[in-house]
Amino acid sequence: MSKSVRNTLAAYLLLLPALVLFSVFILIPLGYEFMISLSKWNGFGPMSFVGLRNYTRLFSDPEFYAALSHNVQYAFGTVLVKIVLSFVLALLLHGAFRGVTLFRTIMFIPVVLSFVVVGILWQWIFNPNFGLMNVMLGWLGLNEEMNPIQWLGSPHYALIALMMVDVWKWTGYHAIIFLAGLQGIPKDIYEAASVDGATRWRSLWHVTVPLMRPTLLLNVTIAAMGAFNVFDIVYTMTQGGPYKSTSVLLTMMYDKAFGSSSDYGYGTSIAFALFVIIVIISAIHIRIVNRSERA
Amino acid sequence: MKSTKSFALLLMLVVVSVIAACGSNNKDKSSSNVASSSSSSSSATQPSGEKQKLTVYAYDDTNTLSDPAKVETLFADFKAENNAELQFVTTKSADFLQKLTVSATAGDPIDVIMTNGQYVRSLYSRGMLAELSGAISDPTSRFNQSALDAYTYSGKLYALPWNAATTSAVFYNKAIFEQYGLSVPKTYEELVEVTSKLKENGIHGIAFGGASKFMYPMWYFETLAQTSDNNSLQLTYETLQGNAKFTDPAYVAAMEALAQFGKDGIFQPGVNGADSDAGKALFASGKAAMFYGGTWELGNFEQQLGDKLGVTLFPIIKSGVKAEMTGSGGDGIGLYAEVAPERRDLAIKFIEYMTSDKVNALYNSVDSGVALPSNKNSAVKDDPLVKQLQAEHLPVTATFLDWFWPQEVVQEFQFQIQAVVGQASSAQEAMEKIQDVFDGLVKNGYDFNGTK
Repeated sequence: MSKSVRNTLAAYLLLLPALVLFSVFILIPLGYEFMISLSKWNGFGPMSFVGLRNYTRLFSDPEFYAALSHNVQYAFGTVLVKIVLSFVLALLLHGAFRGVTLFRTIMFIPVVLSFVVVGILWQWIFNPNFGLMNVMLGWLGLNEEMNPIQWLGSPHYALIALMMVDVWKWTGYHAIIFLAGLQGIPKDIYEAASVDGATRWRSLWHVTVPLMRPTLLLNVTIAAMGAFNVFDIVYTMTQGGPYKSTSVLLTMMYDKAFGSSSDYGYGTSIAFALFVIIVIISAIHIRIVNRSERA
Repeated sequence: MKSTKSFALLLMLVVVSVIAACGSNNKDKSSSNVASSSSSSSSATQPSGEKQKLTVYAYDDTNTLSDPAKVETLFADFKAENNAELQFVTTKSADFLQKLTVSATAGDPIDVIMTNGQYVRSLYSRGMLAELSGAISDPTSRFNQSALDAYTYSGKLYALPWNAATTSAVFYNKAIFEQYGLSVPKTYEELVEVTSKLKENGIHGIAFGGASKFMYPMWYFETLAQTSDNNSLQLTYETLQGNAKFTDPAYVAAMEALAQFGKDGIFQPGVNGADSDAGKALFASGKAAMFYGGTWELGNFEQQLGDKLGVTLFPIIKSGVKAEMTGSGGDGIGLYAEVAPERRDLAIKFIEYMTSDKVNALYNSVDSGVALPSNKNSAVKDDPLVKQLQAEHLPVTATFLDWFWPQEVVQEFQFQIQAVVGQASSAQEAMEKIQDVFDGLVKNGYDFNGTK
């Protein structure tokens, strides 16, 4: 056996455990899930093949488009705010000053809290009669006790309230990624800019931001994927209500598959539609990254 | 040389791993063969001395079955007599069907199901409940026939009542009414007037957790009972058999009544943003004068309000009809259709035990949510409010209508009532959407007569 053949074989053998794990936990379930999406099944009795009927039903279901639009609104609302806030936080916490470790820890605490805890906590904060939010707004004259703002009870405010919670929970996570990116920028570039007379503001725009582009892109992609994958916060706080005004693709999928109708076939077709959306976002990300690297 | 040795070592490691995996697989197969042959030869009984573990899926809104001390009080005798262990998998009522469905799909062991009665018909339709006729000794000696009828489909019994018989009530805070010189409202007009006076003093009318839309249909049962001239059960049968529609005048009028409740500010503002616990907290803290709910709330409200608590019937919204409350003869306990053969007998023994008069009386004493026992022979608590409920509410109680509706219709009602109360939808639109859901089910093969 030649050396190159042995090396190739060795490479495949080294990859084998990962490939096996990938097949067992990703590929095979994906294939089985696709099979379910082509069937009518209540999760308990026999499965019956129905072809693409679940998909034709999905693409003519107004509830699907409503849920998708909520995901899109959620993405726009949370990605922009999280990226800006987390970048600012990362810039503020980039230096070495007294208490920086403490502040970084505090910033990260919401990230490690369980979704259920976060959901219940914020349900009470947004409670129209007892909640901290309306009490504080009342101090500012922006809320009336006998006619309070219905954060989670109004279709106008519920999605906004959920977005606020998402931003609160995940900003720290994105800030940490930005922080890592900032720490990867060589100091001598700033020194060179300073020697050339650049102010701090100009250094930020002409040195920091361009060099942070790959990190920014990563954070935007993660945030966008997270917005389409959102489930826990929505399910814990509103279950898609009021009147389905916060229903997103995953809550719709959960409801169809495991809820009253127990329609696993239809539920998995929603999951596959979401899968395609996530793949598209990832493909866009990879394309932009590749273009940047080539440039 | 070095790379050849490394390559050989790697190859050996992979081969050894594969052989080890296959070896353990064979061992598992052979040991499971031994287990299954021993169980088949002993015809579903375990060798003596070996404890059997029974898995019970139960809804537990009052946290009784998740309290180890209460579980020990209730089931110590059963465990000792049958040399058995009990594992309770509990969840709240609103999430029970999902939890059970997911577990069943995953192939988790399930032996006994203790469910909110609303789900029994749905579980029967899905084939998840085994027939109990013949397996249970003389249920009519313990239960009223009407309670058993609720769980009898195609002439066969699929569940027994457990927990509590229930009815509904408007709970009110006597102290607030006395403080402001108000009379307890008997009609809708009186309710509007009382609510208006309460609001002038910074107190809400009726507190409710609209975000927990699970409870909204109860309001609809009350209004439909009146708009259908106390004929809501018959109307339900006719609708589900296709002889009437959810868009018929009685249904729309019932939904319009709820819209009026929302418009007239009967509920606390932000009702759809407050969950069940927040609604109850509002009432218990004296920020709302009334709360509408089932008798399972009685125990907790009595603890919090004591002598200040009163109960009254739902207000009359249509003159000339009687108030009709809503409730049931008891939630359902049944045998999982795919219970393991070696645990079937034990599971049936558990169901008999749980529904015995003795254990029902014991359950009444430990569960704060039980006001009226499901067993007809069990003594009723010596409590003036319980006696009032038994005398005035139970005789005018009709079974919850969502025990007959398909679950998809129940869910749509929950969403639509929430929308109507929040003034986001008209009553007509709401009922049209519900009818659309029902039409979709019929198109996909739903047949109420097959589930009777």
